[in-house]
Amino acid sequence: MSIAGLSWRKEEEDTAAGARVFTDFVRSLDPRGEPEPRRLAVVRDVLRAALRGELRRRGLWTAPPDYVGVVGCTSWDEALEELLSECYAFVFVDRLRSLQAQLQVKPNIDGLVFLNVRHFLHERQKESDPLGAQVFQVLQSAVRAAVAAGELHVLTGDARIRNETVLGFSPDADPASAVGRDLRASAARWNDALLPDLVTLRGRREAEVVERLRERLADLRDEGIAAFRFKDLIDPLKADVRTRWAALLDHESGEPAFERGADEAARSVRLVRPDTSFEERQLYRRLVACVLAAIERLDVNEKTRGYLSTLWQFLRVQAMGAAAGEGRPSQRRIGDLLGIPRERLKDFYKTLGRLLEECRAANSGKPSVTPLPGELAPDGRRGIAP
Amino acid sequence: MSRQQRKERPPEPGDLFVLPETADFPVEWAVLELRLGDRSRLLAVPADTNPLAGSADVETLASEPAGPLSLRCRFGLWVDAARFDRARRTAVLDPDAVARAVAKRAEIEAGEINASPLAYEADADPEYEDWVREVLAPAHSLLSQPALGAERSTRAGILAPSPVSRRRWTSLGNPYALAAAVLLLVTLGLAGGLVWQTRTIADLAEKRHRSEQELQQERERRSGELRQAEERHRKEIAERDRQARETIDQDRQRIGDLETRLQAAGRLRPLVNAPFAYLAPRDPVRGGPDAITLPAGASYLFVILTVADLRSFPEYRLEILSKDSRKPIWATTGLHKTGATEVSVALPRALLPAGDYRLYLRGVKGGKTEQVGEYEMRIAEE
Repeated sequence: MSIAGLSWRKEEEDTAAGARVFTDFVRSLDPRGEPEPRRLAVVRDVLRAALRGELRRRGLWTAPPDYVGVVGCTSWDEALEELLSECYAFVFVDRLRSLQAQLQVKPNIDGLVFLNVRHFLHERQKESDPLGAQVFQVLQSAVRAAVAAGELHVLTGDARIRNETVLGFSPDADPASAVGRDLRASAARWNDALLPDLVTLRGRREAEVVERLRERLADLRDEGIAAFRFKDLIDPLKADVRTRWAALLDHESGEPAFERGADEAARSVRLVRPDTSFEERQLYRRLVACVLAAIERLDVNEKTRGYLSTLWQFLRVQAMGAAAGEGRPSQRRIGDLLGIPRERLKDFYKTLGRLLEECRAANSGKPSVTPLPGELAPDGRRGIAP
Repeated sequence: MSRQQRKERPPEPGDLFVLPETADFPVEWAVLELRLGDRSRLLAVPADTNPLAGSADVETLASEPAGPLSLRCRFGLWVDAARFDRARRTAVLDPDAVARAVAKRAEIEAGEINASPLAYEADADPEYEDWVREVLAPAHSLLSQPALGAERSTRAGILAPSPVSRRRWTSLGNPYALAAAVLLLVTLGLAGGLVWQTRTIADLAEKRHRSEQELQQERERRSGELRQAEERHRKEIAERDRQARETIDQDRQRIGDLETRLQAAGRLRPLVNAPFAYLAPRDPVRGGPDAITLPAGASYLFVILTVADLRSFPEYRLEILSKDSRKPIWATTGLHKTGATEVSVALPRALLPAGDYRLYLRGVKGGKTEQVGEYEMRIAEE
């Protein structure tokens, strides 16, 4: 069986271009000693280039560094160094044993290092930009399903559906006709119907929203579009979702952020973005999973369970969002966006607060999740009170 | 165990190996189990460092031995132990990680996967789908094929030309003999082929039979475990039922008692012919007290103590002692004068069997007590 044609291998081979920098470095590493400085400097340079390439491929190079969890940096020059250190640890500290193990059966493991860079950024993006990552994931799944059903055809680019993939409603469609499509109006219209499920329906229920989005894809054909580039659809779709999310924090109209009584309840479920340490992120993941599982076990009707799940997913996205800490969202707008009756929000916050406390007690005392320090006190840039 | 011994020991559950057959894929293989009754067969699952872990995977953390790894339990398969080269043992997993992976395999086989909601989110991630399609499925497929060396040696064993037949061929001298020899050879070849085919079929049948037996054993083992679990569960439920019944009975009993007491308390009837005793403070110059005869049906004796001490106290305390044994019979506080000079109390008859009693009345004020009267009483049965 030939495996050289497999997409992930091809990608690595293209990037690695026969290099052995990482292979030689891993061979030379002694777990008990420090790496040789000159060799380390070369490895960091190549790793930086690999990171930059992967960021570009994912369309992140033009996005704020917050989207991969680097906060407080205004430029990528500065952010890239921080990201590089964390990526180095991910690949050459945490996974060194596995790389050295692979050296027993492979002459060159540079491709594996590039693969690990991809895993690193994928994990980071999912954790740090849950909004964008989720929208991308749902649209990618919807397009894949449409391709599998013969409703869409990959005209050019990666068949796994990436930003540069060009799709057509007929295999004979001209890929050139996809250039410069403005799909903002379609994206906004779809979001009217798909939000909040596009962001909050996850896991076993994600297929429902994938299916609904797949049905929407046919609208493009009805509008006379024969071909389009995936990036030209995903970018406006994400931008529109982000705009709606940001609008939750807009208090220009003078509307109070909190209605009476809801503030206390909302404060009890404040979820704080974890720092980049492994332990903190693990704890955060455990808490999120624990509350999700607790919601599934609650003795409530399915509608209430749906509301609770939606609100929790919303809080999770808010906690990790780039705009976290810049204001407090309006309860009325939260109710409108999530489709939850406003008068029930207070009770839902209380229930989630109780579940969160129980999960915190069951996991660890480390404060990933903490109540606000003072009476509705605005806090640092890493927290948000819904 | 020394490092050398560790290196030379046969594969065991928890061992991680890299295999040349799957060298093109970024996976190691984690041994989870040895087959029951055939330790030459190992259950192994692919393990990799992709952090995306779905509902059928088990994660080992960076802090655990050999971690971080994702054990892909859905892609487990039984492999011949000979395919695991001891020199390519790369690490050993924590026993807890092995136990979690074995449990996950059982969940998968039972079709009842129990996973974190975040694992189901990973299942839905197209990147995870790609990883399964491009790495795990082909690696599993490659390893499920028979080992190349084993196949070659098997074929060699069957197809190697016999040196005896070659000697017969070279000894023939005429065309008939040659034709006969050719015919013989063809026949032998066909017969050999037939034998090879028969053997192959027999081997396959034997393998199938062995697999069926193993499957049967596995089914029986699982079925036995299931029965035991069911039995345990039944016993547990029965025990809980019994405890619940006991609790219910006890509760009923308590409720019954309370109701009886409530009814008794609610039955307030007028007392007729109630015995009274008017006691004056003991006078040393007088003789013994007159006997008070309690009728058989009397439940209380009403005692009125005349207080000669004119000091006023907010509260009085009464103590009753057996005159002979000086043993306290009863005491109470919270008494007040019911008139100008009397204090009254109703004493249950059960407290006062026939005999002589001494009563002390004390005034209580500011936490201090002062005796205000001493009385004597003689009870006689009717």
